[in-house]
Amino acid sequence: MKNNFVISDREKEALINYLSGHFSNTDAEILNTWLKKNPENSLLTDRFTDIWQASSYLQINKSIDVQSAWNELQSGLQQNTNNQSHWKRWLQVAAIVIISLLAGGLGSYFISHSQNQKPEPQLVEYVSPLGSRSFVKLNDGSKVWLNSGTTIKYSNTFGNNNRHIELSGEAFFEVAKNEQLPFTVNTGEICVTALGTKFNVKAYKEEKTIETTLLEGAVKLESDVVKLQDDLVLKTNEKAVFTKRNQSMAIVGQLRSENEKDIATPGRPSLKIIQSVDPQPIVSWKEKRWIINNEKLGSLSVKLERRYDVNFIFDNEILKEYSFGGTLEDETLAQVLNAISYTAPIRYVIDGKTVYIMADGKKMEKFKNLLMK
Amino acid sequence: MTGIEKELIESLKKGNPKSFELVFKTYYSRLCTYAFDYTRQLETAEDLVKDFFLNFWNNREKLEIKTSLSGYLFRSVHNQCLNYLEREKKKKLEISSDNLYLIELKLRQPLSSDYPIGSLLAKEMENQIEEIIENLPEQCREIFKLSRFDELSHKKIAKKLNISENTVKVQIYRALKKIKEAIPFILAVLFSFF
Repeated sequence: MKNNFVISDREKEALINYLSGHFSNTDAEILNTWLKKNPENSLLTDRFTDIWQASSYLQINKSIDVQSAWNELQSGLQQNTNNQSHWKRWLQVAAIVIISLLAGGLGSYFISHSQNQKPEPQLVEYVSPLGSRSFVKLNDGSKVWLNSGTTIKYSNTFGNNNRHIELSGEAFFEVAKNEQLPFTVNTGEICVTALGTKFNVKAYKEEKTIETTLLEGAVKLESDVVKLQDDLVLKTNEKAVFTKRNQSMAIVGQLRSENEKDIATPGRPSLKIIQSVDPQPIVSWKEKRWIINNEKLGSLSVKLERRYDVNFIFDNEILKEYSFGGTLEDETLAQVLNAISYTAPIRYVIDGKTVYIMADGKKMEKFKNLLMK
Repeated sequence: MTGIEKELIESLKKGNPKSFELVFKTYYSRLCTYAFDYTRQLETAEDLVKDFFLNFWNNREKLEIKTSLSGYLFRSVHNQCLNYLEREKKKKLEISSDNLYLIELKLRQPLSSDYPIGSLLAKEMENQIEEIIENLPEQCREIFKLSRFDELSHKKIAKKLNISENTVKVQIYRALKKIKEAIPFILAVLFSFF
């Protein structure tokens, strides 16, 4: 777009008039002439159109009622189809799903059962809601532990002709050996392939990084979205940290001894491999014993929010900088907060689902005095 | 295409209603937003997209998707929109000539033959775009939001902010340019998908 790309003010005006729909005969002539000048001009117009459309989504989405559109479509289909019983069965399935959602403590089972038919590929979805963790044993014998606020999806043919899982959130995988069928975990940005291993993947949508930690064996990392180095294989006790970036760009795949300088140019997604990590604190979320390894209150509060389904409000951003370490054994939220307030000059108030964190003046003085000595 | 996407398409072809519901609920609003750019009326846009889904389901057995599911859906709704514009054009006695010029050009989109239409909508980029908008210079941001989110005409924005209509357009162009510059690599990556 740098080479001989020229646009005059009047041409800009015509382009904006075109996008906004207030387009005159003169505008049309000007824009058409400009478009013919250079193929780059067409590309720019297409890109602007794309941005124009996408930027109105959030607004338009508010005015759209998807459920009632869906109901309308269903009744439209009912008129169109002879196979009415099919639709009735569907409604029954919907009812089952809703009931299981209401009853759902651990995972909700999201699958429609078709009777008297050969099994068809269908999507299974397991949800571990905020405030609870769950465990799933898959068809192939593999085990999955889901942390709070995590969803996995897979086909009901899982284990027969594929072992694909889609993950949003954090899960620990203990993969049963099967060299013929690779086990893949797809997070959107990063895809982890394993044959028979134990590994942890943390890929919460709202977090800036995707972290894969390997406890046993080897896994391969791939990406559909960005270009990673070929054959990126993680070994035991290594952790790969992929930093997402909204201005997603070419990936700097970086391995161990290679040039450190190229890692993580700010603003670009990057992948960093950390060697000889202690995996226990990373995967301890699935145990009763939860190990916290010198973590700042800011990031710890995010984990506590998911684990106990609460929201943290900090009186002062500085409080997020206090670090905390220790082992917690199936404590209640109040017990955890008590433990934290012993080591940091903070006070807390729990109000329903909200936790307020404030500075404690008296303790602050004490801490200062200790430092002075 | 991911493995799950292939499975989903297979199960759609076999008539699994849950898969259909999943696809509908995932893409309905996005496809309507896309169609809205052609119809300029939300109700018409919704009708077009509903019609598409009806046909999609009724012809599911013949479904052939070679690229990606989202690419297929946007391309199909795009065609539906072009058909709509063709019908509008035939009614040209009833519509103003300015609208006709707009339709003529819209019918030619995408202007570059291999442009992946609706790619930002399909890739759920709206939050990133919103963030980029929030980081625009103040006047630029305000004008762009009034134009895109409040759907105000250039004239109304100019009056409201007591500036010239020309300034409004210049600022909107600036905003689009800045957003485009902030996401060029994403588009470069998307190109290889469709």
